[in-house]
Amino acid sequence: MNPLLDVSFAAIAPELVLTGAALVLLLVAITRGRPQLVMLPVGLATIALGAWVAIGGDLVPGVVLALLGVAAPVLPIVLPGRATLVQAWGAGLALGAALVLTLWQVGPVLGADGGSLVASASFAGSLASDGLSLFTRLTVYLSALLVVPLGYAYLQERRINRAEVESLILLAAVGMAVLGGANDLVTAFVALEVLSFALYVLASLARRDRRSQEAGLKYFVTGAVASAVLLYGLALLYVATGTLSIPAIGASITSVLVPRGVAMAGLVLVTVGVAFKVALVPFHFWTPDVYQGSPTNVTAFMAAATKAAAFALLLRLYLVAFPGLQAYWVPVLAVLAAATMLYGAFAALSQHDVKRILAYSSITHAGYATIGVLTLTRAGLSATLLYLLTYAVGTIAAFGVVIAVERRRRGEVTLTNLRGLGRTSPLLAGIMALALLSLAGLPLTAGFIGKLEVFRAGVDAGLTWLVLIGVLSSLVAASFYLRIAGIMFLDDAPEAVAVAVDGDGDGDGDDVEAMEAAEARMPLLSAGLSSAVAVAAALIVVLGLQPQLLIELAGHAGVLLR
Amino acid sequence: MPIGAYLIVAAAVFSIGLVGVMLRRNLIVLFMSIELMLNAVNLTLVAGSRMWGDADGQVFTFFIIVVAAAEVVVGLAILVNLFFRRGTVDVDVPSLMRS
Repeated sequence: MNPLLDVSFAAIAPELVLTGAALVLLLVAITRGRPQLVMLPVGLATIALGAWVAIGGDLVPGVVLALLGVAAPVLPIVLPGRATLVQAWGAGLALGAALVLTLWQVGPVLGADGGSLVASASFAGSLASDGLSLFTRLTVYLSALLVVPLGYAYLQERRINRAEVESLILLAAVGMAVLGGANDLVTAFVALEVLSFALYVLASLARRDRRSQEAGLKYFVTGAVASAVLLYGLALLYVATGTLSIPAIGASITSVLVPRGVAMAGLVLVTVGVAFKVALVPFHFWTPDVYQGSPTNVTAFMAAATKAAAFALLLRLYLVAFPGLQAYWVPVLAVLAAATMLYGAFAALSQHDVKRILAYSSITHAGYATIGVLTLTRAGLSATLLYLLTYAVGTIAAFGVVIAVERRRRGEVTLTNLRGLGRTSPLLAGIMALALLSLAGLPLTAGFIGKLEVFRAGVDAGLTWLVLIGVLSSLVAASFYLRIAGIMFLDDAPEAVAVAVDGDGDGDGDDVEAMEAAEARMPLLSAGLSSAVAVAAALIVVLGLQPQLLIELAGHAGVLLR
Repeated sequence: MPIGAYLIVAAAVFSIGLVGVMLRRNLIVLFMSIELMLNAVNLTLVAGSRMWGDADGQVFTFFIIVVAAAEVVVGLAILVNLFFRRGTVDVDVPSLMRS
C-alpha cells in the first residue's frame, strides 16, 4: 500500500479543528473590525463540510463542525465591536469542540478489549492513538479551555491582549496534543517545537514589561538548547538503530548489532534534554524565572498543559523506546526524581513571590510524576496520566486566584499581599486554600487521588525508598501550603502596618501600598475568571470525592502503542 | 571515508556550539551557537542515513532546517524587542527576578 495515502482525518480531528480555528482567528484579526468578511464564508464552508461528514456516516464530528460553522458568523453579531472577546469565544468554542471530538474518538474504542483501550497507529505509523495520547489531549484541551477565559480580562487590563494570543494558545495546544500521540522521532520533534515556539512568544507577550521579556528570553535560550541536546540524542539513536519509529527503536535497541556506545550517548543526551523540558533538578533552573515573569495566564497554561505534554514525550520515549536499557536509566531518573522532590519542596520555603512558589511547586510535582514512569508498569502509566490531570486542575485554580489578586494590585503578588484575603474576599481565599490543599495532596481533593495512585504504583513496583522521599517532600510542601492558608485566613488585612517588599527594585511597589488598603476591599473578578476558577475548583472537589470514574478511565488508558 | 569520521566531526561541532552557549554572553553569538548545534545534528543524521542506506534521516534533516529557521525568527523577535527595552543584547544584565 502506498503510505502516502494513509491519511486518517478522524485520528487528528481535534487538531484539525483547532488549527483551522487558529488560522481563522488570525484572519479575522487582519480584517480590522469587519470580521464577517472571514467569518461568513468560513462559517458557510464549515457547515457544508459538517453536512458532508455527517452524510458520510460520522454523525458526531459532522454536528460539531456544523455547530462551529453556525457559531462563526453569529459570534461577531452577538458581540459587536468586541474583537478580542470574539477571539476568546472562538478559541473557547474550538477547544470545546476539540474535547468533544477527543471523546468521540475513544468512545467506540473504549471497552472493545475487555474494558481497556485498543492502541492503533495512523499516518504510516507516525501517530499513535492510545491511552497516552487520549489523556494528553484531555489534559491539554481542558487546561486551554480553562485558561482562555481565565486570562481574558487580565490580558485586557494589562493591555497585552493582542489578536494573536488565542491563536497561539490554540497552536500550542495542537503541538502538545500531537506530542502526546507522536510515534516517531520526526513527529515528536516537530510537535515539541510547535508548542515551544508558541510558548516563547506567549511568555514574552508583555512587550513593555521587562520581567516578561526576561522570562521569554530565558525560556527561549534554555528551551532551544534543550531541544538541540534532545535532538542530538535522537539523531544518535537513529545512527544506532537505523529507524525513526519509536516502537522500532525499542525493539532493536538491545540487539547485538546496535553499537552500545552510540546508543548510550543517545540515551544520556535524550535524558538531559527531556529533564530540561519537564524541569527535573538539576535542569530546572529556568522554571522559577520563566513562571514568575510570564503573564500569569500563560504561566498557568505552561504549568498545567506543558507539563503534561513534556511528560507524554518522556513516557513515550522511556516506556516504548528505552525499556531495554532500563538497567541504565532507571537509577539515574530515580535519583533525579528524588532530588527534584526534595529540592522543590525546600526551595519553596524561602520564597515570597506567589508565582515563584507555584513554580517550585510545579518542579516538585514533576518529581512525583516521574515515580510513575520509573515503575515501568501499566499501573504506573495510568497513575502518571491521572496525576498530570489532577495537577493541571489544581494549579490552574491556584494561578486563577493569583490573577484575581494581581488585577487588584496591578503588580506582582507576594505572600504579604495575601494577608487577610480570607476576610476581604473569603470565596477567593477559600478556592486558593482548596487549590493548595489539592497541590499538597490532602484527602478529599483531586490531588490526593493522583498522589495516592502514583505512590501506590511506586510501592507495588518496589520503589519504596522513592515513595518515602515523596511522602517526606509532600509533608514539607503541605506545611508550607498550610502556612499560606494561615496567612490568608488568620492574619489581618494589610492596612497601614503593611510593609511592602519591592522585589523588582524599580519602585513600583511602595507607592501602591497606600492605595492598596482601600483597594483590598474590592474584589476584582470578571465573568471569565470567576467561571474558570469555579470550574477548576469544582473539578478539584468532584474528582476528590468521586474519583472512581477517572481512576477507571485512567486504568483503561494504561495502554501504549508498541 | 568511514562513517565514524563524520560522527566525530559532528560531535566536535556540537561541542563547539554547546561551549559557545555556555561561555558567550552576546545573544547573537548565542543564537549562532545554537544553530551550530542543530547543524551538527543534521550532519549526524545524514551520516546515519548514508550508513543505513535509508532516506528517513535525510527527511528528518529537512524538518530540522525548517524548524531552525522558524526558531531564529522567534528568537530574533524577542531579541529585537529586548534591545529596544534595555539597549543591550548581553545576557548578563542583572536579573529583575530573584529567589
